[in-house]
Amino acid sequence: MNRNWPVLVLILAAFTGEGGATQSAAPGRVIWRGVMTEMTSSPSCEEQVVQTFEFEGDEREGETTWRSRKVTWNQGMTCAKDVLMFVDDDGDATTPPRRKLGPWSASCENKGEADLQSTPDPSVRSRCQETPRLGFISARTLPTLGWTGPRPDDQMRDGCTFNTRSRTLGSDGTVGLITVSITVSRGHVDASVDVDRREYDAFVPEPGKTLTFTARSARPARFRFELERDGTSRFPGYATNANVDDVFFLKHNLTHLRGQYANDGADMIFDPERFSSVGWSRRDLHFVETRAAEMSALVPVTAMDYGAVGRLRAYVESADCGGSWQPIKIVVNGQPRDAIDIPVDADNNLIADALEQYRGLDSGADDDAEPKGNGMAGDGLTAFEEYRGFVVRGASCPVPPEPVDAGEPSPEPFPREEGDPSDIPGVDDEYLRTVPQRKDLFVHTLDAELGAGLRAFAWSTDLKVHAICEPHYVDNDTRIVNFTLQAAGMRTWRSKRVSQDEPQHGLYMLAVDFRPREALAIAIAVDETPDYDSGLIGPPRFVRFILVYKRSRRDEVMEALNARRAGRPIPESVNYTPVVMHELGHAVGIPHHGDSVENWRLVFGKGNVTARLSVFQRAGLPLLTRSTSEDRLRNIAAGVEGLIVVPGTDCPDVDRMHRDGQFAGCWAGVIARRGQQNSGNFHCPMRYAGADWYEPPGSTANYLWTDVVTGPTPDGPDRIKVDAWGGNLLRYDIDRDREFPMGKLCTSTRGTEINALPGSRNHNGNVTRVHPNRNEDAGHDKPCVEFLVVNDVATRGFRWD
Amino acid sequence: MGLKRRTDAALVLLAVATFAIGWMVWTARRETRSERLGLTLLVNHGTRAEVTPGTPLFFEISLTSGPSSGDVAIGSRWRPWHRLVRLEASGAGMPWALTMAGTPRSLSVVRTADARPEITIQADSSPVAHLDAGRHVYTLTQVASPEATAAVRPGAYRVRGVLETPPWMLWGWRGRKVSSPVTIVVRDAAKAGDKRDALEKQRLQRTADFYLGTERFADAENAARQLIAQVPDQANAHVLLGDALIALKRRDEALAAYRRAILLIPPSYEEPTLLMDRIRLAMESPRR
Repeated sequence: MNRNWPVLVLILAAFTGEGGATQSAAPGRVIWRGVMTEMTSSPSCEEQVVQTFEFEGDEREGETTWRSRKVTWNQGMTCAKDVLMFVDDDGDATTPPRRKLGPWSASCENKGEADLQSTPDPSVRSRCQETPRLGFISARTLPTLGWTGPRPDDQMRDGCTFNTRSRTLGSDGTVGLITVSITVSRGHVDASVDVDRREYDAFVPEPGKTLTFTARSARPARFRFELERDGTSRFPGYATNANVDDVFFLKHNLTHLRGQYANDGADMIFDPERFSSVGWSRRDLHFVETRAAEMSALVPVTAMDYGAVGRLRAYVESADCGGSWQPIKIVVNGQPRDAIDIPVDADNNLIADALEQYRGLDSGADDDAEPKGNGMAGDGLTAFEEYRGFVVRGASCPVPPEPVDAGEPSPEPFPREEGDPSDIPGVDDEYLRTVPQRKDLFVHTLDAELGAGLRAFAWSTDLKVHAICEPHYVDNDTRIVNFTLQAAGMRTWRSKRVSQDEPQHGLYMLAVDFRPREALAIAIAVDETPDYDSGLIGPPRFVRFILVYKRSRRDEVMEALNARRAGRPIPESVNYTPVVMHELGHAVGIPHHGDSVENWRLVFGKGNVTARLSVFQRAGLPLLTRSTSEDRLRNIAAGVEGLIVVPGTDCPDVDRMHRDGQFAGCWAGVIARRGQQNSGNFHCPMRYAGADWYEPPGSTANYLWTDVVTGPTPDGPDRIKVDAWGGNLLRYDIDRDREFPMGKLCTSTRGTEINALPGSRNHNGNVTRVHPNRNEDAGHDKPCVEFLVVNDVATRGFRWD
Repeated sequence: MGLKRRTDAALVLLAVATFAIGWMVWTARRETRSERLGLTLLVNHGTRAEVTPGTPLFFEISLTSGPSSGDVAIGSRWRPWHRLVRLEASGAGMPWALTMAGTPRSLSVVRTADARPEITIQADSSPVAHLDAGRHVYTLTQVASPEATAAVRPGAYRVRGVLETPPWMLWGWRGRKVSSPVTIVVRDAAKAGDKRDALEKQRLQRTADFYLGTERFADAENAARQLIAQVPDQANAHVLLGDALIALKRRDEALAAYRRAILLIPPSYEEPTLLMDRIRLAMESPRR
């Protein structure tokens, strides 16, 4: 394929200094440069003169045709002395002025520049001041430029330079010092730097990936290449969430640089492995020099970072002018430049133009539009960070051996596995650049089965969800996914924003084998303590971790027992996916149906009636966003172990409860209320499934009394303290709503399926969210999809009150 | 003439056989080298367990592949994948005996027609583990019983999972893969200091759980009652007791235990769904 692409000369034409003896039939470029300084000091005056010239022309057979003859000069003089002057100090014009010794001073400036070739009679900017004005001094004219221009060859040392220094001492005490330095550069040999244009245009930096430039000279010469310090990035790490470590060197075939290359090293280097000591006399990471004069030199530039930016300069040494290094002028798209930028970045956003999806974006933009969520664009990651990319989980997550406590003997280590590099922790990690138009979410879990649920959550929310390992967000406590730039405090580079002021967090999900609060799962907020629930909800900054209960062998046994007793088939397996989806939903800011969010904290709706909540619901108390240990004590003191529904119909025998020997109602675990957790879109993963009773349209559950009831017969044996609720409640059709939902996040508050059935069969209706100010009629009816927020920047200014 | 024909036929057969054997070896080697597998080992759902002697240990081993891995098959009808997986300890052998808990299981992610990922978990999975771009997870659980760990000397132990095919297994994935190690610190209860109560609570909790899983319900009840004696306000202890009692067909006592638990549950944004299910099932259980 490359054969179809000619090697194009991108960068052309520098003219190297060559010895005057060099003869060529073709005209050669010649540049004479010089500087003359003159300092004169007399008892009354000081004068300084600096003149330079640069004459550029074409030489042919000893004759020079000048293209330009530029000169500059800068003269300054100050004088001060006492002089005899005639003073009319009596103010009488009829009497002659009196001679008197008085102070006199003067200063003059004369500076300018001109091209004598195009302006043979240049104007002069000169200004003199004299106090008093005695006419001793007048403005200067064009200075004498007789010293400028070429010198005969026999005056030029090594054919290159002419230097003189002379000192004069006048009889009046005037001291003068004149230095003249003149150099000549003859460009009989063109030097150029070439690169395969296609390769250059397509180059996108990756650690270990190289772009090769070719420097050529028409005659043998030494070359020098430099990666400009200020023009080459030094982003910490090598991707947005990866520091340089052993695996970095191993995976990118850079093991020879271990110990030489640091985490904050330059992101473009000259890899010493690619520069033999035979051909190259200097082999620094950012500076190389050929050992001997060559006609050409190949210089591979190696990227060390997925977001590397570099600037290459090239020089060639003149063979016969004392070894001075002449920069190779570079022409890119017709424009002469001093250096070449890697990669191609015409829109100047630090991002390789070769990647179309980032083209034209501001490096600091965080405008991911999809999914729209709560309207806050972005995912906390700048376009540059998304382009620089992320290391994500491969086949598994490496876990370094856990330390044992100090003073305890360490267990014997395992012998190292021979011959299989895949056993090195982290070597299986994968890398990706994320899409700047779509919001990204990063989740770490060691549990492979829970991890499978991430795909379903991505589908449900339209987020890009990436599984990562612990080192990819520092650790499970820190959870910062863009830690390389954040930790270094690097927010801008070369005046371009590369990272936001606030870090972006990932989520940590772990399996537990004892139920977190007897629920299937829970997202634990960051400042939660055992006695205090902050009520905070996503974005990820606020979610310390997500606990998911994993069914153990005990559950399998219990389920089998119960199934056998009930004559039902033994359930084969439990799918954790809907639980994972539901909790991840909370972690990105989505409350239950019926609840809302204000200042990142939950605002509870009236909620389904349960034994745990009934003590508050029966008193008409608002359900608090923060459940405290006092709430728990209140629950224990109330001692309500269950609910009954009064009067209760279609009551299975085991649910029949009696009060004072009379049937009182049916036992209930949960009474689903209209517009609350069970309401709305049937398939939304944030919806609760199943209940025992529901409020049909037009009815409302209302508290009746609290008492001890007996069941299932008037004589017991069960004696339960219950809250009784009435209000034309109907029995929940559990067979139609048994499975946890795992569809798309709801885009409307409208109920579907059992929540859209006609008449009294309509179970829970549309979602009715409580307004943050607790006005349920304020129309604060947002579907789940409009709560979604992954951008931690959205919480800027949040106060931990 | 006939001899020459037979010789020619033999040469052709030899060439075909050589090609076939070469292809098989090449295929086997290719699978070994090109596919990266993930083997994850967790102990009690973490990478480090700190226990006292007599605390059961639950080791969960999962087999996955990376998102960009190709298809690979591990195991065969005669040698199922879970028989290719074992645990090994550093040093002088495994300090405790292990048994399989339940059956190996597989999790598969399949895209439906509307691009929805459908995830199914199957117990007692097929003998061949088919791994394909991270869409499958194969898991098995091995446990060390309270009796097995009771005799273990205090100290720190490292255990890792190993997937290894025997040399004669030419088909499918071949090779050896090890997991990251987990660490088990066994502490002498008498010298556990501040951690003593917490470690004892954990021992009883996991012991009750283990006995329930192995259908030793009377032992489970005993452990749960000891746990309640130590932490009477912990909801989970009462759930374990309820589970043991319901299995022992003592429905009324079980219900009382579950109802006690529901009073003790700490505040939470999520409803105690599982516990309410337990109560419902207990209520439906026949009384003795």
